Amino acid sequence: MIVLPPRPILIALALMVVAFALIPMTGDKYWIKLITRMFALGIFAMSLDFLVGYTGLVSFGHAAFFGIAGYTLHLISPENQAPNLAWVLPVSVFASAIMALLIGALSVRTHGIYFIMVTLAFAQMLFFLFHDSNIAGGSDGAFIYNKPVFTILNWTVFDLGNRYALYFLSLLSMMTLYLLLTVVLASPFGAVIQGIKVNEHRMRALGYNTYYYKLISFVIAGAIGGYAGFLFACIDGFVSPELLGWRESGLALVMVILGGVGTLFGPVLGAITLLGAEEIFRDRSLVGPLANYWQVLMGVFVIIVVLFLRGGLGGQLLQFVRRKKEQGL
Amino acid sequence: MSSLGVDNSSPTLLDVCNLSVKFGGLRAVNNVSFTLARGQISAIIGPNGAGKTTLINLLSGELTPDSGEVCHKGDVITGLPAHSIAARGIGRSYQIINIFPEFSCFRNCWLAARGRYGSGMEFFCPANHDEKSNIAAAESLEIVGLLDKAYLPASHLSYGEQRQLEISMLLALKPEVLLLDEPLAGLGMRESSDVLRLIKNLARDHAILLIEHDVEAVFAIANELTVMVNGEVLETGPPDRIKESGAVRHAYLGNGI
Amino acid sequence: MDWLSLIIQILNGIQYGLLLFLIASGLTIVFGIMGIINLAHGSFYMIGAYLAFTLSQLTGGLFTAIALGIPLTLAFGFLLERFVIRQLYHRDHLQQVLLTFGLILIFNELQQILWGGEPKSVPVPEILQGAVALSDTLSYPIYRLFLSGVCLAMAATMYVVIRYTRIGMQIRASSSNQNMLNALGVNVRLINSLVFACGVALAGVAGILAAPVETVYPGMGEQILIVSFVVVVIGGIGSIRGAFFGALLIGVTDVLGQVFLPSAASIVIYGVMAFVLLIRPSGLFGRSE
Repeated sequence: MIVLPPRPILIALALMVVAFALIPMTGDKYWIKLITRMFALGIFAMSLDFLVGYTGLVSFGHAAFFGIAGYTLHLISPENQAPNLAWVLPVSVFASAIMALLIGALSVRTHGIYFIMVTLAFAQMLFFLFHDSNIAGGSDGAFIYNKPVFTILNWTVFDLGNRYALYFLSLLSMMTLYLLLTVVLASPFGAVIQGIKVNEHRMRALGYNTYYYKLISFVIAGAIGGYAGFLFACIDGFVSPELLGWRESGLALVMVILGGVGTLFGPVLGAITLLGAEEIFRDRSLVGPLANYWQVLMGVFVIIVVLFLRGGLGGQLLQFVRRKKEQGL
Repeated sequence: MSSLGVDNSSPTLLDVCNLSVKFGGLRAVNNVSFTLARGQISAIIGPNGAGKTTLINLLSGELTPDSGEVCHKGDVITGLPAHSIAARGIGRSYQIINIFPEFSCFRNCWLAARGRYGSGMEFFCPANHDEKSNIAAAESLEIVGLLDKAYLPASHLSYGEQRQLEISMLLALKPEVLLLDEPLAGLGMRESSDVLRLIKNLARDHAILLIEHDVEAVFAIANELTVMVNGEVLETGPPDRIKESGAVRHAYLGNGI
Repeated sequence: MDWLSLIIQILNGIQYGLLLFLIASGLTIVFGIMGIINLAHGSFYMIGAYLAFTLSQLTGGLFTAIALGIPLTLAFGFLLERFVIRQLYHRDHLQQVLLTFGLILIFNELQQILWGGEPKSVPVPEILQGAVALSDTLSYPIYRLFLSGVCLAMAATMYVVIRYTRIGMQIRASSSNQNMLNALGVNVRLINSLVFACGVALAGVAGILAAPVETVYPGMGEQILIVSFVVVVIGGIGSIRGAFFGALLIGVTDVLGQVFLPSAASIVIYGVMAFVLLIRPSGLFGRSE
């Protein structure tokens, strides 16, 4: 059975999508870019929730796959010609999936706290690989001058250099991937990984080779994380080692817990809220001179969310709707 | 009590040969051998720490023996991982309840059935379209009398019902060999006799290895008894003989009851 | 490369490994006893290094910086456990990771505010300047020998305390069953505070000692944290012995990697970790499942 959020939340989400679809009409460059980023990071957080909230694997290295796809886009793009989205997107996502397969094959053997440390260490290894070498500009990063164009037989469908095209592609991708993950979670595979999250030992005793299920889940999350990273690289037109860094992985986890672990739609809200919070903390007119120290505000915000926001935004919403329903009955 | 009900021509399903495992200096299971055939209820009794649960863990693949051999239908399965052994049709229940408390009873059994009937490597077809597993899960719930609670979360069940769910999951897995680790632990009189009747019924077409502290119950349903002390088999035989055996009485019954 | 310079490199590796041990041991013991994964542990190393910078400027020497730094970091650790870390005991790993992640953001920004972004250097004390001549052209700095000596002495002290003293016995018992210990009338809370504070102080001292040989820069905490994770994963979580051998292995591997495989130097240690994970997923000295 495909589990969607309860109807009131679904309606609210639909309204949000409609609002998002209307925002580009304002034509405000800054807002359009910011919200496109929210979409990309929303996809990223969703893919991490698939791992953390549904498979029970707390990965602290998810940014590795985010960054790999962006770097792949940079490395395979021809220098002075826009590449065709029809092949650079699959190749970039595939690169992330392969990396997830390699890292996952080793990390998934471990459990709990080991898994956290091992994923972090492998992601950091990739960070140093790009940081300390001269691949794609080393620690300075590199520009993506020509953004991909989607062409079929010489007919240009859309050009990601156009900010509206990128905006709507990201919004549409986010919705499609949400539905895709919902379908996968309702499948036998979804049932098995959720069983692994609750009681892995028992799943083995029921005849499931849990290693492969966890590994495939890791690869799926890595591939979708790569998709998000691909979009992100297109938005910024720039890749740097920081994309793979542990900070990015940590922030993705914050988005997931802020939005609600194991709710799938929650982490998208988490991404939107976190980016929004960052905008507020950096805004001199809102927080005054504290804007210089916005990282401290961010740290305090993270700590408050972890300590006091039980279940995250998504969890709180679900609880609210349930309570209302009980009162109504 | 005798072994009259046993069909002696039935093939041996499990053949355990000189199984041993050590934890540090402790010989938890030492040189244990026995066979298990379809239609047979073989019970293991012994004081706490005798190595009974360890023995089941060795058979189910959750522990690897240091030496010895386990054969299932002629294939050596020693050292295979737990999931492969379960997939061969050797299922076990746990002394401590080991279920998926957040899932419905139906989902608990469905996972067991699916594990046996198909893999979980199907990504786009909804899980509830798998009729075969649905039917097996419903049947197994009906056998233990939990069908009317199929859609309750397992955590809402009483302790006794959770034990029944545990057995029901085992049935959904459709094993030929059942390894039951104290299935009566913590059950009331009536629940106990229900479970005992169930085990007896199952014995017709399964091979059952039973660990149980309730000696009365064991004498009532087992066709073969093995007494374990300190990881070793003290004596094996039909219940009548074990009852009369002075050595066993001295080692276990004497100070236990 | 001749034998002598190889030996010098190995000595450097051992020295780095011993330093790593001070940090990794705190990380592993805090996990072993309190079940807490502390991402902010690397920050204590950074704080130690900056303390060394400020204190040696104020008081005129590294020795006074060490003497003042130990009580300061102990007190800091004690307070941090009291007001923040204690909130984490009954929470899951994900929350621990994120809360300590938030702490890093705060510590890093405070560092920026107090000391700014430029790298700092700390002078080697006068008595420890100079080098021991190993041949006509090669020599080994005295300070590095001193550093290794101090680390070894601290490792030995830790071993003796944990192995042979009453408090050590309680610490060991505490890692297997805190409730039981509580029931026996041992003040488990105090043990937790003490262990955490000592972990902070160990990392802080490592930072102070390292300041004269490494550059003091803003990201040094995270850099060492990740390497310490690699050490802990290799040694086995909760095992101090594992942390010791893991740290030496990683220290020597890292230094030799930079000599023999300069192009892949930054990833050699991760390769070692991958190899250990392949053969022993729970670490060399970890309890296997």
